[in-house]
Amino acid sequence: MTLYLNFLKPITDKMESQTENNRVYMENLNENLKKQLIEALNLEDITPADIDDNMPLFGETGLGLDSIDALEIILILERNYGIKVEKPKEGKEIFYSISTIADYIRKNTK
Amino acid sequence: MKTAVPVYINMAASVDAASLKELNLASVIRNPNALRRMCRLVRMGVAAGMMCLEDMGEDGPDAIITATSLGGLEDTGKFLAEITERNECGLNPTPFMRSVFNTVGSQIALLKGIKVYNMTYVHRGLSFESALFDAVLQIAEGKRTVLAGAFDEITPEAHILKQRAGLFRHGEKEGEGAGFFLIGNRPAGNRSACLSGLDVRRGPLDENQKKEFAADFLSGFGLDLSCVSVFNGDRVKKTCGEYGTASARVLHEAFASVHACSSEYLLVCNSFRNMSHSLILLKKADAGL
Repeated sequence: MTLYLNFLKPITDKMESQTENNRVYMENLNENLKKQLIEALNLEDITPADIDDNMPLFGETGLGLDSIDALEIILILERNYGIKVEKPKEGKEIFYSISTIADYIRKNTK
Repeated sequence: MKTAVPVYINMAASVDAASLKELNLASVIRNPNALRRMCRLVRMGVAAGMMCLEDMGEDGPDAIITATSLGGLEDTGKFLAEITERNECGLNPTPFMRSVFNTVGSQIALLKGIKVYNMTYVHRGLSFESALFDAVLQIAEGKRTVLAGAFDEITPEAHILKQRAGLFRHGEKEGEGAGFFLIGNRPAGNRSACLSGLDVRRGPLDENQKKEFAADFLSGFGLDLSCVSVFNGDRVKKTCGEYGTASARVLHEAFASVHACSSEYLLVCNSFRNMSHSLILLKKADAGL
């Protein structure tokens, strides 16, 4: 039995390390999302600090993103989090702010 | 081709990589969302086009005609790389939108909010001349103002391919940039120049054949080489480099110097790698028709 556990130890260590990495990644989810948004949408002169978690991403009162940017955000979710937005009608609520996107990711990450 | 009706170049603007860095782009391209999506080539092209239209205020031209020899190489490369990397799934739309040849013409139309004749020519070393031909025909058909211009860019991948093809063996300097012109059916101000005619030839020409081409072209206007000042495009290409639409940059420099010429006419000669040749005849606009 001890021999068996020793044999599995490198695998369980790796799994624990991955779980820890995922935990840290999800804890910094909002910050990571902001960085990914800035890079993918080429938001020049904007830093993560300029984007409030609850600031509207679309429309004139917020960051001023548009429908082409929504397509880019869909790709960010697919490529980085493996999440597909199945119902486009939900997009308006999901993409309202960084916080709403992060909530959606947390709810849909397996 | 001798222009059937009077055609005038009323405004010209060029943007290259160096001047692009110095430009306050936000004041020329006033849509921040559109601006941040534009790659370097599109920024050069749209900025040059919009600078030509500055004096028109809210109005736009009656036609937009653009030209490029190779198009948006950087974004085409990005898009093609994504196709293979992502197995044709979940492709990013922005590089595709920016990679198409007519992206500069369409962006200018969107920024001006106009729906007019909008055409793009992609004819290797004679792309810009093809756009200019079309602009002259549009004026002949009754349009009052036409925006015509050209753009091309250097990318590291294209540089390697050109190097392998041996294009730099004879000391050719690689170039890039955008040049646009506002063309009209009447002069606008004292900087205008009359575009009297243009002609093109394909295939290699030796020096004698080039002189014959120029003499034939000028004879159509009742002129010979002794009556005109000659503007050699190779002079400009020493600074701006060689690229498929460098003739737009050459014409810009010629346009800027036409009123300083000793002759009434300025013959602009351009040759792209001795494979395609063009002659453009400019006349001082205030010298009568």
